[in-house]
Formats: sequence, C-alpha cells, structure tokens
Amino acid sequence: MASAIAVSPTAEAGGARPAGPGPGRRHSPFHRARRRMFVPFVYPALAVYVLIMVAPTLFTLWLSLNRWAGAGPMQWAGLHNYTAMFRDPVFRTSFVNTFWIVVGVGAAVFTIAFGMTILLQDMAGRKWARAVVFFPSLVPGIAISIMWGYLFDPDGLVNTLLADVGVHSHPAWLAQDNMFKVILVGMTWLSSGVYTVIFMAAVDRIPPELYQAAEIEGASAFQRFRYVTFPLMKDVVSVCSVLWCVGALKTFEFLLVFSAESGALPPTNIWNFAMYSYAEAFNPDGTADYGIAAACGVIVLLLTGLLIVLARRVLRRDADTY
Amino acid sequence: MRRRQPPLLAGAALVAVALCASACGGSGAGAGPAGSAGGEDHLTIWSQWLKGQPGQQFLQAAVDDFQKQTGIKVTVQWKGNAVVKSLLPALNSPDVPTDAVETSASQIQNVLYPAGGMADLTAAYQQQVPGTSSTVAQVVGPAATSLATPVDASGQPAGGPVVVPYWASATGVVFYNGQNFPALANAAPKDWDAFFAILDAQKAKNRRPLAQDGSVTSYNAVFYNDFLASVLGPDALNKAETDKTGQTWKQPGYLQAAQLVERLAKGGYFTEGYDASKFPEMEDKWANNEADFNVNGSWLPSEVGPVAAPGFDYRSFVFPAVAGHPAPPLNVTVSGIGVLKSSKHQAAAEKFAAFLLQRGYQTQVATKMQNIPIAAGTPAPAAVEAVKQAIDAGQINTVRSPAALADYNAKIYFGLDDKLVFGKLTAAQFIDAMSSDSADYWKTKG
Repeated sequence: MASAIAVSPTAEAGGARPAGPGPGRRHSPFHRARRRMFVPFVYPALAVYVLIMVAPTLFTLWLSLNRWAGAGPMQWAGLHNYTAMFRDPVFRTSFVNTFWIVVGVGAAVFTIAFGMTILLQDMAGRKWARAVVFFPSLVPGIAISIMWGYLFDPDGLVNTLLADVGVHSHPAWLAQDNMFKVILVGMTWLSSGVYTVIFMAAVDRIPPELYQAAEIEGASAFQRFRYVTFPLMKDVVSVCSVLWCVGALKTFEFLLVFSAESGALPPTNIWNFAMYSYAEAFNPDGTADYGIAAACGVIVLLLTGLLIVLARRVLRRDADTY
Repeated sequence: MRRRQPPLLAGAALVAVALCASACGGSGAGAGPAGSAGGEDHLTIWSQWLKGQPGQQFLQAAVDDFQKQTGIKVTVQWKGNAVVKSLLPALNSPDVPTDAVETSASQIQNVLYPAGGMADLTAAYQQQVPGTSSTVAQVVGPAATSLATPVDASGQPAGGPVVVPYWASATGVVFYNGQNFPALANAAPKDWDAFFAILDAQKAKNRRPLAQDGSVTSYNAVFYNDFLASVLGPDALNKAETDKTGQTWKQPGYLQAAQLVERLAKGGYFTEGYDASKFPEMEDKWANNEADFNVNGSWLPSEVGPVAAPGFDYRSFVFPAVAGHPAPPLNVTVSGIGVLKSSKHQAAAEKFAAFLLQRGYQTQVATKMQNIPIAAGTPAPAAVEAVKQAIDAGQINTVRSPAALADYNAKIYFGLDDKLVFGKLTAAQFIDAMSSDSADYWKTKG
C-alpha cells in the first residue's frame, strides 16, 4: 500500500507530463529524495483524513444498523432503522422539502446569479455592486433567520410597509402553511450573492476579445452569455453546483432558528433531512435514537454522492482553451 | 522499501500523539476535578443556568455557602439549556466530565437515564436535610418524588428517583393583570362556562382576550391536554397515544375536548395573528394589556417582567374545569440535581442536593429566582401563589408520558393539535386524523 501510493506508476512513468523526464531522472538524487519525502508528507494527512472523515463515516454506517440512545449499550437492529424511516410519513415530507431546497432553491439561486452576472457584467461600479450582493452571505444564517422572523411578524416591518402603501390584506407570512415558502425565499436571498460573485469572477477570466468578436457579429447580451460566457464558465458552474448540492442537503440552522421556539422542534411540515436527523438524535423530550439519525445521515451521504455525479455529468465538457 | 517505514511510522506516530494530546487535553479540561480528584471531595456540577441568570446567582450563592460549611470544593459549569445535549455524548467517555447535572427531571429521565447514565437516588432520599428533622423524601413529598422517577414504556415507574428537585414549574396556569380584574383574586372561575362568560364579556368590548403564542407547539397543546384531562382524566391522552389501533381517539370525551379547543379557535378568543407570529410577540402584547389572559407556565411573570407595562400586577389561577367535570390536575415539572452513575463523588453530590432543600434556600427560590420552591409550606411568589397551593395540596398530574412518546408527539400530535388551535381543522377532523395517523404511526414502528 505504502509503495503503491508513494510510487504511482503513472507518476513514475511521467507519460502525462508535458515535459516528461528522461529515464535518467528516475534515479537522480533529487528524485530519490523527493520520493522519500512523499511518504512523511502524505501519510500524516492521510491518517488525519482517515481518522476524522473515513472512520466517522464507517461508524455512522455501523450506527445506522443499531439502536442507540447516545450512550450505553447498542442493540443490533439490522435494516430496521431504514425500513422504519422509509415508512415514516414525516421522512417522506422531509424528502420532499429537501428536494425543494436542493432543486427549487438551487434553480432560483443559479438563475438569479446568472441574471445578475449578465446585468453586472458591463455595469459601472460593478465592484461595489459585487460587494453589495455578497453582503447577505457575510451575516450568519442564524442572525438572518431571526431578523426574517421579526420582519414577517404580523406587526413586523413588511406588513407595516405594506400598510403604508395601502395594502392591508396580506398573507400570514409565518403561518405554518406559508412558513416553508418564506424559508425558501430567505435561503434564495441568502445564497444568490455568493454564486453571483463566483460567476462574476469566472467571467473576469474570459478574454475580452471574445466579447469584441461577438459584438462585431451583432450578438445581443443574452447571446453573448449563451455563446461566450456560459460555455467558458461551465467548469465553474459545475463546481458551484456540487458546492450547492453539498450545502443544500445539510441545510439546518436557517430552518431551526426560523421556526423552532425555546429549544423545541419545529413543525414537521418544514423538516428536511438534516432536521429529521437532528430530531431523532436530539428530541428535547425523548430518548435519543442515534440509529435512525445515522440512517438518515447515510441517506444524505448517498444522495450527495448521487447529485454530485449527476451535476458533474450534466455539466461535463472538454477543456476549453482561449 | 524498508527505508520508507521510519518516516511513515514517525508521521503516523506524530499524528497519533497530536490527536491524543488534543483529545486528552480536551477531556482533561472538561473532566476537571470529577475525572482526576479520585477520592477527594471535589464536586463538579453541570448546570442548566447561564451566568447572570437569577437561577445561576441563586445556585452560585448556595455553592459558596456549601463549600464554606462542608469543605467540599464545588465547581459549577454553567451550560445553559443545552446541558443535557452536551452531557449525553460525554457519557461515552471513560472519564465522565461531571459528577452531577442540574436541570429538569424530565430531561434527565428521558435522555440521560435511558442511556444508563444516572444513579438511583432512593438512598439519598433518606438522608436528613441540614437544619431540619426531615428527610429529603419528606421535604420533596410523594407527588414530586413521582415526577423525579423515570417511567417505562407503559408509563409505570421504573426504579427509584433520579433527581432531587429543589424547585417546580407548572403549565396550564391562567395569568391576568390583577389591576384589570380585581374581583378574580378571590373568585377565580370554577369552570370554563364561567371563564367563557368572562372572555365573552371582554370580546363584547372588541377585545381578543386570550394571548397565545401559536409558534410554541407545547403552549398550543396545553388546551387540548387540559380539556381532555378534565373530561376523561389525566391518563386519557397516554391511553389514546399508546393505542396502536388508533380507535381510542374515537371514544366519547376525546371529541368533547377537541370541540372546546375548536370553540376557542373559531370564536375569535385568541389574539389576532396568534397563528403567524414569532414567540414572544403575543405574551409581550399581553404584558402590555393588549390581551387579558394568557394560559402559560409559572415562569411567565419573570419572563415578561422586563417588557411589561408599569405596575402590571401578575395574578393567576389554575386551568378551570370543563363544566360538569373535575378540574384537571396541574401539570408540574420539577428541576434539581441528578447524580451521574459514574461519579466518584456521589455522596458529596447527594449532600449538596439535600443542602438546597433547607428552609433558607427554599425561601430564596421564591424571592431570588422568582420560582416555586419544592418544599411544602414555603411561600411562592405572589403571582403563582395559586399554583403553589395546588402543588402543596397534591393536586398535580403524576401521570407520566413515556419517553418514547416524545417522537409521537413531535410527529403526530403537535402538528394536528396546532391545526386545531389555528382553526384549520374542526374537532371532528382532528379526531379522525389523530385516529388514522396514530394507527399509521404505530405501523411504521413495527
């Protein structure tokens, strides 16, 4: 194992290297010294990774096959946690809500980010605009969710402003039927700026002569985006979609703080997978069920992997060169 | 190949040492005296209070006094509401970082006890309370002892008490401003017919008389809980919840209780916006005389104190009976000291628990903490004097909800009850849904 990692045949052969080393380089003192240093540099990192990432993941998998109150003896449960979870209507609600967050909010965030990228591309003062759209992501989600709670209260700022402009009939924003929708809007607002800034950074890397050529050809702003900007930022979009999937699947603090009171659990109609897992492990009035919480975690892990593969496949492209 | 092994081993060893150092450091720091003092008298307590809270100030003063009088050093870590969540994973450590935990009995019983972490305090209840001729059991009393004892899946006591409580709180208490309703001080409504008459009189003045923070599901549930406890007795909810067929919900009485909630919801009694506001919006409105009554917990006066209208005269009476039925017994929660099974200083922890039951400290629970002392006959704050009388008279609900039902409540009961309280479901729809959803729930549990 040690030698397999330390002396990778591909690396050694050097075939993929643009400036491949000659056969003599393999035995040069520098190369031998580098090979010796490879191991002490890589193995500590690998050991840390195994200890803090791989081992807990395997433990979670093991835990999902047991019943456990968080301490004391475990009781083997086989696949019971999974079957019980899939039969639970609240888990199905959590699945649908997770889908809305990942896909619904994701689509809104990326659409807004693309739109803002187009709008801000040639705008004067775009650096200032970039800072403004980035601002919401600087404030902790907890603070934002608390603030949103007060904004949308029956006597809150939103309703006061609506009343000032003569709108006295407004939705009960924080009613249980509307709460999840308000949360989705809040998450969209919170995340759009980050992706806008990343997209704008990607756009900055595109050579301006391509846009000049497009203009000479008479391309509209949308066509410039369609045929120049998007293809050349596709790799960034791909990475962003992966980042979004990973982050959205574990959305938690915004939901909890926005909806729950005094350490209690929020209403089940706004639960997502992360909340489901939390509720099973930390029901404030009941015995912890780490087995089901872990089973839910395993499902999230699988879904994350699946979504990442899908996102990478959809946005796969050959390397573009400028 | 072999020459590579030393750096590999060295690297791995370095990581192992680093991780061990950090882990051991963390553990040692958290463990403090509990983990390291061996047989010495050095007690560590994790508390539900945060620095600066009245409860923290009370407990710190008691700790200082206890140290002076006994020579036992006490370290308290102020963990706040997350104390039990923090302690649960720590129970897996070979060196559990505290000797005792100070929080509500329900949390200790439902979370820490099932994990095998708590000591049975039956023997501790036989020790004498300093400065008195009474034992802990006598001061705590049988009803509160019952509340400090875990129950099994059927709600029956399992073993002895695991908490020595020193204060109590209660839900289902109807608060009002004594300035606005002076006649109620000595003539609390005997039943809901009388109370509805008072509420209707307020409605006639274009007021929405009942403040209700609908975003707190447990506050919403108080109405159905207590109506049902009055109509069918305090064990009726447990019976229906644990019936795997769901048919118990269809029995007479369950619908009657739901109809009373429906009457409140659809009759315009609750404050406007109660179903779409953030806690504590509605109780703050009540404290500023924008609503007349608030069915809440005994902690309400101290909670709204900083925002209440000047001169607000907190008064209360317990949840009235449904006409023609006995009043529901008061729902009480007790809080106090639980001792960890792994503690090396159990005797010292039990001694401290008994120390808090002295008359002087019990009086301070009322005067400094503004809470209800556990010892019978010790005066409570005036705002909750009616509650204290009910507790001393033993008129409290000792029916226990099994810990496993917390999941049922979170997933079935609270959601449907919220819809009933918000007027989204009629009483009949509520009962039908409770019945069918209960049957489905128990099917998922296998």
